[in-house]
Amino acid sequence: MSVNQDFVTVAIPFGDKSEWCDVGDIEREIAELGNPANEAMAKALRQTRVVHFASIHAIPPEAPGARAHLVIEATVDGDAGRALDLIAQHAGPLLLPVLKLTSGISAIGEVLPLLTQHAYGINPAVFRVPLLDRRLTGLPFVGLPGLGVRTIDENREIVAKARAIIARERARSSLHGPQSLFRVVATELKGDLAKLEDRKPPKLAFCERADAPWLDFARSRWTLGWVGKGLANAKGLILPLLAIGYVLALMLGCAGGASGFALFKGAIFPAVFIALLIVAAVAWFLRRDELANTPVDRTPSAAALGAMMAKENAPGVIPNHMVSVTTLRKAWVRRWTLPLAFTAVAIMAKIGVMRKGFLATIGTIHAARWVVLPGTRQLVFFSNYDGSWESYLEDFITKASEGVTAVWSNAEGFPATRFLFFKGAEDGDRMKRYARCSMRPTPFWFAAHPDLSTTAMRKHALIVSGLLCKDRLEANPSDAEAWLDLFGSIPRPDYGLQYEEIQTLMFGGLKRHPHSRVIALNFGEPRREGSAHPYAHVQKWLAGLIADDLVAFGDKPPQDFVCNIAFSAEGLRLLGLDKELALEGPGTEQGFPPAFSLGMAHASRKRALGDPDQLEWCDHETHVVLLLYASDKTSARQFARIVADAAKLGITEKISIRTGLKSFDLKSFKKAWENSDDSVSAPADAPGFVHAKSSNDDLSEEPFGFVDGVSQPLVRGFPGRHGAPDPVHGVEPGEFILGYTDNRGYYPPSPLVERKMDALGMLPEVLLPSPPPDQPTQYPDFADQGARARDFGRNGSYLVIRQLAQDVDGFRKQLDEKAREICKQPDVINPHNGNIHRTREWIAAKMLGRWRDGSALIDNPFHPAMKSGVDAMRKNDFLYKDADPQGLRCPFGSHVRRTFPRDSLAPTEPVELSVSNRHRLLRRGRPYLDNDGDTARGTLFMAFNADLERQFEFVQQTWLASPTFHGLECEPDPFAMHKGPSESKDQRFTILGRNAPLELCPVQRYVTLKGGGYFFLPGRHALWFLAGAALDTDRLHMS
Amino acid sequence: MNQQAVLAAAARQLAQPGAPALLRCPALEKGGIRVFAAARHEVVSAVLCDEETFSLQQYDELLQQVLPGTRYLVGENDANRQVRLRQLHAAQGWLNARLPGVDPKLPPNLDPGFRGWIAAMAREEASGILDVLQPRARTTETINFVREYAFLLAYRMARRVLGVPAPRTVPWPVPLMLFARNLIKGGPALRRKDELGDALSALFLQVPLFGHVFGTITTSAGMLPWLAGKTASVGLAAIDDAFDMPQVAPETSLLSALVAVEPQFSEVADYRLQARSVLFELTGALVLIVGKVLSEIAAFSASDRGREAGIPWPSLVERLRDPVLEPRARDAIIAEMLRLADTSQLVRRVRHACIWRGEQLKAGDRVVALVGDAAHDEAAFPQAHRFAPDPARPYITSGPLQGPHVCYGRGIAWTIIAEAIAATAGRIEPAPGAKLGTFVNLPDDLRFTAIRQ
Repeated sequence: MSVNQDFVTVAIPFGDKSEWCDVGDIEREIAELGNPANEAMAKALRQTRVVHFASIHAIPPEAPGARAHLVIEATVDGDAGRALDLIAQHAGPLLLPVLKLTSGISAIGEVLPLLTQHAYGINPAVFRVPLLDRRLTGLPFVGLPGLGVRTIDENREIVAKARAIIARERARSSLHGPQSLFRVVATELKGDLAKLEDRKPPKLAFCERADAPWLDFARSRWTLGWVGKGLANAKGLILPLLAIGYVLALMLGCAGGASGFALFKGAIFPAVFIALLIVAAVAWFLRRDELANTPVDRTPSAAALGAMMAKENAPGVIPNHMVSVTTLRKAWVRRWTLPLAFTAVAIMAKIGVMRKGFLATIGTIHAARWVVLPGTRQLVFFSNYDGSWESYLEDFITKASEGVTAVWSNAEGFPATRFLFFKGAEDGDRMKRYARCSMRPTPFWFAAHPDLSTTAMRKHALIVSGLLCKDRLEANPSDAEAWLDLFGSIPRPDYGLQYEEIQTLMFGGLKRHPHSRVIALNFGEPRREGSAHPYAHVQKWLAGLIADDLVAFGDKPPQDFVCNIAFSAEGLRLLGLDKELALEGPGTEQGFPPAFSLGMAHASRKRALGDPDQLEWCDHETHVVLLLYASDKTSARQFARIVADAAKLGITEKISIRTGLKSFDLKSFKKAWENSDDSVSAPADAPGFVHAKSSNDDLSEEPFGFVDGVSQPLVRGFPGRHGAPDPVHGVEPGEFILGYTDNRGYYPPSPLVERKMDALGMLPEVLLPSPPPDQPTQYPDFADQGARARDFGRNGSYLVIRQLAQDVDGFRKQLDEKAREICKQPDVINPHNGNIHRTREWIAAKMLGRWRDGSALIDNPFHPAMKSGVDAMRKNDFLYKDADPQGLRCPFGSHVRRTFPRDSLAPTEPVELSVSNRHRLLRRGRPYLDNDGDTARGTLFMAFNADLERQFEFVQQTWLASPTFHGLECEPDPFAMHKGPSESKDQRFTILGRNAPLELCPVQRYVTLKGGGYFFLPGRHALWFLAGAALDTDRLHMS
Repeated sequence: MNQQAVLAAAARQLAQPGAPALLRCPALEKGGIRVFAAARHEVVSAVLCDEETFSLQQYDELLQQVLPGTRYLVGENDANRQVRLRQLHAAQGWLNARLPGVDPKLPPNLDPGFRGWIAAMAREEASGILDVLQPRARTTETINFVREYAFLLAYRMARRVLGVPAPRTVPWPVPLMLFARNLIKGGPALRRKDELGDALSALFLQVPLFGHVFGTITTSAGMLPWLAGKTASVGLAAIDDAFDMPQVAPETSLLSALVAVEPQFSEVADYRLQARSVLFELTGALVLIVGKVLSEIAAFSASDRGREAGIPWPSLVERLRDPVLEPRARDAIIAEMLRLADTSQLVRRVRHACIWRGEQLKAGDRVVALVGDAAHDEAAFPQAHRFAPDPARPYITSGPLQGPHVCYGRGIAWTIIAEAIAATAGRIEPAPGAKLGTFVNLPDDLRFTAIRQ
């Protein structure tokens, strides 16, 4: 239930205005109530059921002649007056001894009248009604708006139960997905949720959607729009100012002899002018007073600090309390600037530049307030905050120094400031010394929930909110996952991926599974087998794979064997998605993209890709591919069994391509380099293939002998170093996985199923709904509900497979010829002139853009680094604009500069890198082997992308195959471009040098496209959907 | 010749070689009650210790005269006094159990842990007072050490140790006394505001009674008993109020302790009355005696006499600040200072007719033990005018060396005084020519100045 919080502030004067007013006795009496509160006081305040925090202080007089104050402050639910009644009712007897000392009362009945008499509201306004408005100048702040004491208690109880249920279910079954887990919890806690007073999902103030104003402000900072919004909300400040100006203008007009309507009309513009003059005068007086201020840079008393810290960080208590007492400067302008600062902070909160409950981005404050004690210049700051004082103050200094400066700079001795808001608290160390000097130990402090941080309270509220939004979370794994994330920590990562929905191959190249095979299957003839679906046998086969948990999902691959599955457009058509893949008609509402529907073998795609007319296999006759990986040969025997099982159901093998990983032999490479040993690079057949060990984490070698996979995009949200922001390679998951935002912040189009498929026994309801307009954010708003279409593509990706045969001998021969040719010339570009072996390597490195060991030419222009591929990956954050703008090290036409030009194409364009990153491919290819498995015959190129045209086809057509790439001529990729219709005889490769470019011509291609296709790698729910009626839903916790 | 002059003359005679142990003082006799004076250390010590011969009934009767039912521990060791002593020990035991570092095997009032706790409090309070006085270094305004430090500190300590605040309202003689004081004495007027006002009130409530009880040799009559009753009854009422709301007292105060141990005394019908007497006596002892002797020590040390004795103020402060000073040596310094500054006297009543040290005494005779003179007896303290602290010296300024009336609170008092003096280091110092001024026979003014930091 959402409850407004209010602030009780009681300031009871005591003492005789002499210098001998000693607050020691009263402080000690207060201290007997405890910090944290003793049992009796804590019990009494808990019984009120409205008090979040309470503290009591004896504030000494600011100077002889003033009175000391007993201050009782509390943060309460509901109206402060009612809360004061409850406090007096429950805690009155315990407060009486203190009140007797200060005010001489000795009867319980006198407590409430005394407290009421000295209770004050808080008002941040600059202009106030004199005499009538007895509220104190100040500013209250609530860190958990809407969360009442009872709600926090109830939430904690429910969360504890939910946590226990989750732990139990996790132990019981490994097949639980986020939704099923959520469903179990929601079902079991139905009774507890029913007991809640308000079962309507609460609108939590700190939740957000992508259009939350504070997120916008974080991006834009103070634009004119925000300033305008602020001024529009400062009516309480501006209108009285204008009114003053107007009255003065009228008076001047009267003095000048004007009268009647003309006087009133004519005073308008002068009023504005006078108001501006007032503002200028205030600024001038303020500045003058700032210059007159002498900062007090004093080391805090060790004894006082010790006394304070003895009260902080109580064992088992998460929040802390602080009280600071400073004296406002005497200058009259401070009477304006202090409330002005309060007003500014209040307006900022109102217009939404700060998340509700946050001060700037500080989310650790439970409740705080500034107040000026009545009849004094004492500015008192009370705060209940999480964590240590040091971290709290550091937060203020680094995240909200302007706000702190604006308020505190009105007090004597604050570090030097400039125009109220600037400097001051920026000087962090002095600010902390000042703060500590102004602080007093807190003698009594009560926290209703001492074991909970603000974060925990927010988390609990979100968890309960999620349970109340059961329908939405049950239907949506990202929400269910976001909900489960809340049992860990918030802010949860807003790029959280639904790991268990995404097939394992997306997350990595499965280096620990070096034995692999790609098997393309054909569904064969339709076989209804008593079902409504013509390809019921395929559904049965899929259901079997699912039931046996053979298809691996998530970022943690099974240890021995991984099976992933992808469907061609034709395969999906046969399984029932014919309308979404229609080749005829006006196009579908939101189906598959035409490039996928047409397939890679379609003439239009061949034209774009420069592919040969004839392929040994393609996606037209292939319906599904199994991507099989094993850690060793023994585990690899399962490959045959899976194919055999499929065959039993009539699903036939179209092609089976054996692949594997081979470790790059750095030692041999180094030895050959040092000894100029021709055998490594001299013309020869492809060397024998030795499978890498499953424990080997090095990068693999492709058939031409180069380390492969150095430059991969780092997908935000992927585990490991992918999670870290990378300025060059970091890309959003939506660039590869459907259902997540891409680099531009939008969702890539995803095929939806918006029709009934009962006739086929298929239930689109099994599919996940399309992602909400906003993904769950750091503080997900579960209460934002709405029905959305079923998204087949969600958590899936388009997979490009291309079988590229590589003529290793031909490639080496070409290198040899070119090396010999160059060595004959007295060429100054070649650093190894005269050394055939090294020249061959140098040319090869220039063509690829890296040496064989993966080291970049950018950093190693003359010699390979002789380090592992992993080292090359670590040094892969260079930009061409800075490192090699003229292509002197890494030629413009080299393979790596083509496939990912970084900022090379437009070095002066600041967004060029982001343009390049729109065309990244998540590569998962491997060398493919001959039937014996002894020799690598080429590369089975595989790459994931969210948009085939924008990513794979673009890279292939515009960058790789283009003879005019980067302003070159007749220069397609010299390394990986396959033979095809676009091949010309005068293809060349240019190595730029200081004097004149070295042109290699002709350059032949030694890669041949044998086959391939476009496939779709579905998410878990999409696979379940395809299995249709054959799926046992109970076993998968779906019912 | 007034009472003090008579006693001084008697003391001089008693100090002569071959002088008797006791000297009759007819000038002080009243209503047929004979008065003797004792001045030599061994005689005074014997008078104070020999309770078979010399009773303390005098004090009981004087108290009964103005405050019926109220007694001091400085009185006859009767059943009620035994109850009060038990109360005190039980309360002290309860208190010590809540203090860190207290050894339950030691007498609770002398335990180092307890004294350490007292010392920490005294330091805290002294520091708080000095913080207020410190700004006067800028204005060169002088400090009245007696009122603004000694008696104030004594009151604050009494407030914390005993747990009884000064009454909010005081009878009219108190403001009148204050008015008289301000009229007579020069310098800044004293105002009854805040803690200083409370200290003055608490003190002035005790002064007439102390005059009545400890200044009377034979009988007390006239205004003084009336005044003593008028003021002291308000002090007692304040204790009654405190008992009614013990939560107001500090948790570790004697009042809280006495309330807590009350169930142990179910057989004592007038528990509150006896406990009130204990608190009342200790309030007087702390508020008046500690403040008084602290002032007197400061005055002595700041005077020429202090310099001649070899213990000028700076030297005294330095000695007490010595961090490696043994507790016994520290006590000896304070006892030695008390001895040097001592001018006190105690009265005993002869219990039965007897011959004592060759003197025929009758029941009811009064013996005035001139403790101050005994403290300067060369026979007990060679070079008696010189400062020579030694734990082995037979100090009697804080009461008899043995017997049931060995001073219970001397450890507390010595600790407070030692800490109070040590705390002044670098903060305040005697003003040049500082001289102790008195009012109603009590210290009233001693000029100090704040040291510029």
